[in-house]
Amino acid sequence: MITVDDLSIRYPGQMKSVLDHVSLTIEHGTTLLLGRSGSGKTTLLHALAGLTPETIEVEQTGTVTRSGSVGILFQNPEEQFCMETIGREIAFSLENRSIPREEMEERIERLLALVGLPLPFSTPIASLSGGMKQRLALAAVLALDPTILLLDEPTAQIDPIGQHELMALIFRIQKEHDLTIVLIEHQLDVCLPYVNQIVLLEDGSVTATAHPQDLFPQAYTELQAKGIAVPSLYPYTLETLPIDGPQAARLHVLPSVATAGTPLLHVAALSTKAPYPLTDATFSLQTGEWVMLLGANGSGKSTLLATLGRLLSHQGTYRFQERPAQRYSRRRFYEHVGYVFQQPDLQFLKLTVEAEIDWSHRAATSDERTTLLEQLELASVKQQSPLALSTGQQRRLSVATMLGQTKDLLLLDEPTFGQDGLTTRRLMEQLLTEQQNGTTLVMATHDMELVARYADRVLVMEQGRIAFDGRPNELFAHVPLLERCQLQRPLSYQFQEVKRNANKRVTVR
Amino acid sequence: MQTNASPFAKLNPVIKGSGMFLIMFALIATNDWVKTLVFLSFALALLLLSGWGPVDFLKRLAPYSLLFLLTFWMMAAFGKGTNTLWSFGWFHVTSESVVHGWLLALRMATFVCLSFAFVTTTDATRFVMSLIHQAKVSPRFAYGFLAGIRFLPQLVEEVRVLRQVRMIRNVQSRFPGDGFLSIGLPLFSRSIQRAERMAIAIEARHFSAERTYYEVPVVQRQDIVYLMVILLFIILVFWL
Repeated sequence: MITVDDLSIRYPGQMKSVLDHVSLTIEHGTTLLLGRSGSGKTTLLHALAGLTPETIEVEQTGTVTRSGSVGILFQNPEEQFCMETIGREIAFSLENRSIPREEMEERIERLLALVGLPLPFSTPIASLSGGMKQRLALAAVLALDPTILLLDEPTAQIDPIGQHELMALIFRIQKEHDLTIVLIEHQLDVCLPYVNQIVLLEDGSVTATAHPQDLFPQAYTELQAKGIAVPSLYPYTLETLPIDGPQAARLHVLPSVATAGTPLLHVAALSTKAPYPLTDATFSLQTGEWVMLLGANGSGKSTLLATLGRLLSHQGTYRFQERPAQRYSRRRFYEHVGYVFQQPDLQFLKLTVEAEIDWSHRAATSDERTTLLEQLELASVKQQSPLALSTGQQRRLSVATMLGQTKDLLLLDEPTFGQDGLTTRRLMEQLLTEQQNGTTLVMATHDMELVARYADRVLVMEQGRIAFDGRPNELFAHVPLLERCQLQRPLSYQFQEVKRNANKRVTVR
Repeated sequence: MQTNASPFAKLNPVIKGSGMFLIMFALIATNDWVKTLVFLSFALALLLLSGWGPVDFLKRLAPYSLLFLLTFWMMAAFGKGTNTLWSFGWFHVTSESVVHGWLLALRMATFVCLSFAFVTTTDATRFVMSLIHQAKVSPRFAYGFLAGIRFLPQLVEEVRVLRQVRMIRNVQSRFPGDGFLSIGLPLFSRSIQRAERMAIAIEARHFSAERTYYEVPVVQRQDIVYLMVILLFIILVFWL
């Protein structure tokens, strides 16, 4: 369906080619582009879509031949809309194809039903959740009537429940409409069962093309070592997973041991005024505790973080280190408390990476700051603007700048959102070091694997109230609550349960 | 920009806007404060047609009363004139400057009312479509404008975060404008990146100027009546 012949692409002003003499054939079915960030996956996808070399200006040699029309779905739904209501957004695609006006209403209705959004046409896009927005974006792409669908990490920016729904939807539509799909995706467990061909990209070259069943069993450890995303289970299921394989090793989680710290903060009957949802929160935190905040979108996670960070006014008691939090001047308070926002690039204030660290660690000696830059692996880019770093680098720097050296409490608002596995892992290691140094971490997240691996304690928010406060394993056993709050149990916990059940069966016999 | 169910919201946006421009031009052309006052009452009448309750009315216009007083005071106290009414230090109030100040403040109030009447009754998409069909603006510009409007709420959110970051990281401004710079730079770089990605997404959806339209605003009888009323009103004010 798509033939790529000797394709090389170089961005203007860069010495190195992003794609280097790539030749491949994309057959009917589903093809997954796999590789580390920066390996050229996205550029290849753009080339397949025909966006290079004109829409995206690059120097390009070689040819891309397509038999069929192409539609492409991007990572961030926010950045692919140009209208304000859902009906008009789909109509925009139809207008581009010069579909007669009389046919539009009916087509829009059919597309909305297809992606499972049977809403009035006048619904504002801003009122949709992330998962719904991505489904709308999919409908707008399908309105172009493509025979080839290109997907650039379509689930990266939405929560886990939405991820599964979207993937299932995409492959259902593929079956119904007989589409060829090329996708980039880090959630391999969700998509691998549908994939016929994996194209492995390393440093701009294709190093392997194979069926997943031929690639993963052999190359699993090798890929993992290279920092390339690998599935947690595939080609096995929880029941058939060999206990001594690399997959099982990845799932092995040591339950965290609660360290007895000293009291750090205490809140009682903490509430915020409408429209912020927080009501009657009461809890205490110890030093060195790692607490994760869970809950559906809009349940009050961010509000609780913002209140603890004194970014919102509150009612009720908030004592920080034995004194009412309001008694601290802002300056004193933020010497003890750091806050990591969702968007790393908004957290930089200086012109170079080095200046950022110099400012946040102004109490440290210059040797200590140099060591820190090396630990963060940012020494080679220390003279660059923080805005020019890759997302992974920006993430690490943003956490480091919010830490300083005297922080007792660090509040993090979904710091791993939209990051690939490698970035997430390194960020977590960085945070773990801070925790071991006695910093208390409060982190909002949707990622249950992180909860299983790192959290000492979990707070689950439901409609502004704290619905659960306890240890992760207690939460995973609490099935009705998990369902109510749209949370999934982590694979590692499910695996342990499967093993336990298997053992039980043995004893019964 | 938003819309509501008022009769004013049903007008064709471009016609509605041109009618208002006519009033504004007529207003600039007069120096007579009685005429200005008549125009102001007309603008207030238009506001009433745009479906505002009295509470909305006071709430939204209240900030502008300060601007109104300031405009008046600036003109009255520092203007030129020979017939001195009161003078103290730099302030020099003359009967001519009071008339000027009064005139200018009234003009400003009329402009504010007219703009409000337009913005609160006009849907952005319909306005842009009407620009394409009635004002023959190129779709490329018009759709760019539409995509730009979607940026605004995100920009507001980003400015909020940037200011909080400055507070949390204990940054004080070293010189006036320092805050503006350190907030402006990341905002600017993000906007460029976002605009680029958005342009790619729009191109990827096969955008072209040759297209059909889902919504085609037309000029109806009520629009013609609206324009006639405004023209008649201006003629009456000037020649009677």
